[in-house]
Amino acid sequence: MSSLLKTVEVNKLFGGLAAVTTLNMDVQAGEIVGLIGPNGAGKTTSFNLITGVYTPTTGSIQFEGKEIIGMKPHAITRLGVARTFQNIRLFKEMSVLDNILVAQHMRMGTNLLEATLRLPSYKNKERHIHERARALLDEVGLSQHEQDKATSLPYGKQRRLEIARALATEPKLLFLDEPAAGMNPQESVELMDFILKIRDQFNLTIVLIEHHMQVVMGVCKRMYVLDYGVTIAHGTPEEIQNDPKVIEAYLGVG
Amino acid sequence: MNTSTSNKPRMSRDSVLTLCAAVVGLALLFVFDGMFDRFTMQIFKLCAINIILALSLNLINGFTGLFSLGHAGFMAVGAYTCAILTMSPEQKEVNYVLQPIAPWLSSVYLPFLPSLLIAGLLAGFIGWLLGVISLRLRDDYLAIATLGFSEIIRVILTNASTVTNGALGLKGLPRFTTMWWAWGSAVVITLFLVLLIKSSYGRAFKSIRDNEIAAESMGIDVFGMKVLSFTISSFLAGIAGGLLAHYLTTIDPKQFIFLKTFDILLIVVLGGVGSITGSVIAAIVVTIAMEALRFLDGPLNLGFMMTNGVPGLRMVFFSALLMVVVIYRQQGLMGKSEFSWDALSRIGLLPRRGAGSPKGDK
Repeated sequence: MSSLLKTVEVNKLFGGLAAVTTLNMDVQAGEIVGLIGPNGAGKTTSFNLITGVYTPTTGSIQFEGKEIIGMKPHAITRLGVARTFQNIRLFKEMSVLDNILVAQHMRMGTNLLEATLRLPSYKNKERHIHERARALLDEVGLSQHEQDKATSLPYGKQRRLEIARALATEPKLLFLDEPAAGMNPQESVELMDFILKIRDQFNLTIVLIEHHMQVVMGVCKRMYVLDYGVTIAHGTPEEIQNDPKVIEAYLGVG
Repeated sequence: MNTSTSNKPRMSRDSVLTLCAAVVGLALLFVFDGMFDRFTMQIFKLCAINIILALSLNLINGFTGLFSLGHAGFMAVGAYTCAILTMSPEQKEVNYVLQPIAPWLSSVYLPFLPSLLIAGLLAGFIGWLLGVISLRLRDDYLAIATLGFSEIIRVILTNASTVTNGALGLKGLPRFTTMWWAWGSAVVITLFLVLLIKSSYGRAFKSIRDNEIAAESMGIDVFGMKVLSFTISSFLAGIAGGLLAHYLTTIDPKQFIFLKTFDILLIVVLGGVGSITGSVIAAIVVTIAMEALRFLDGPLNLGFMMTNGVPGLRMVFFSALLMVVVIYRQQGLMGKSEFSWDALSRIGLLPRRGAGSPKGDK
């Protein structure tokens, strides 16, 4: 089976600081892969490199065998890569429904003339994306908040809205940046179920950054551990838990 | 768009109300046209032109979140293009006294509508060009770049004498901007912008305003959308400039100094950055107030003292008003909300089923 996402020897330097060094990730379709590491290890930078926010200094990133380095983030999203953000980035002045609708603009395939003249073809597309947006909101349990301002939602619901918005771009590969941040244990368990559910329902491959070990160990079959930008270990949760280098990175040398 | 079966009857009530308002609006225009003297009508026309200007500036500043200050430049391009195209060859000879007009322009003589459209298109093209160059910048850097651009346009207009007649300006333009032209354009452009903002493109613009990084990650071509918004805005500013030229019948480069941009910005901020309704209302109110407060410039009897006329005192009023708004009501008159018949019935101004109210046809 060929890999969905492959990064080969990816390096990123910020001036003299090596934020990410020789990142070699290989993600197969349908997997849930974890990316863990102490603060400042380069996890979010890795996400930003793969989603096109930053361009790697050297190396190669392939999505479905296609080189994506140098492509703009929106073009990479079009290929089927979506993400959420560590510090929630919703469209704050817009309604919950509009947040989802924006994410469908790209796949809607409309043009300015059709849209401003409200041609029947546009109305059809509009109806279609409204139906899909409502179905997605139903899926994440936000239907009753449809017309509320996005930032008026409580924190946990904002996180779910962000995931729903990412799903609206019809991704194959979904990056979740600390989805369980700020959640209590009960919510974290629900989140794990939710991640597994959307994986099966939307045929997703998921890469997630998470500090919440219970969540990572619970849903990921495989994980990469970063420390100071270097991949210090990768393997199954059991292997990682017993890896001396990982223990050292997290707890320091005894 | 969001027609669910439950509010079907309300939709038809809204259509009836909108139709009534349109008829009342049209009737009012007829009545005003016949009733008022020419001076009042001039102000009334200026309201319409300012509506177009405020809306076009609000499209970039309020809806797309780009702080642009180049509007006077796009207006100038539109005004000069429209003026030169509609002048008859004889008029051109009379106007271009110091230096004769460039030969390729001397015999161009077009009717008003095509000239106005060409004016808009040229302003739009320059807007596109400037957008491609400068929209990589953000916030105050963009503001400075666009401000500089509008000054460059003004300097070019002053010096390209064979095309623009330089600092002398153009005089004796035909008075094409009748009330129907002014208000007709304003209504068409308002409708266009309402449709645009409520479409998928409008949502994309607002998403860029709210969070650029997230918009890019959700598949919105942020740069392309910014350029699109900027181009549409400059096109509309060009149209307004063309209307203004044939409203004033005299134009010269000094009219388009950067202060003109701030006059429009004042309207946008007072009305609400990101509200079409706000811009329309504020454009009308500010335009009328600018004239109504003219007495402030003349000799005043303040009871305890007499002043013998301070020119520009009415602008002090607007500056003070702007300060009050910025301190106590930053969102302006309307914030980001829009007029709707439902909103009127919610606040009790309108029963469920009622006749039209003369509140404009939006």
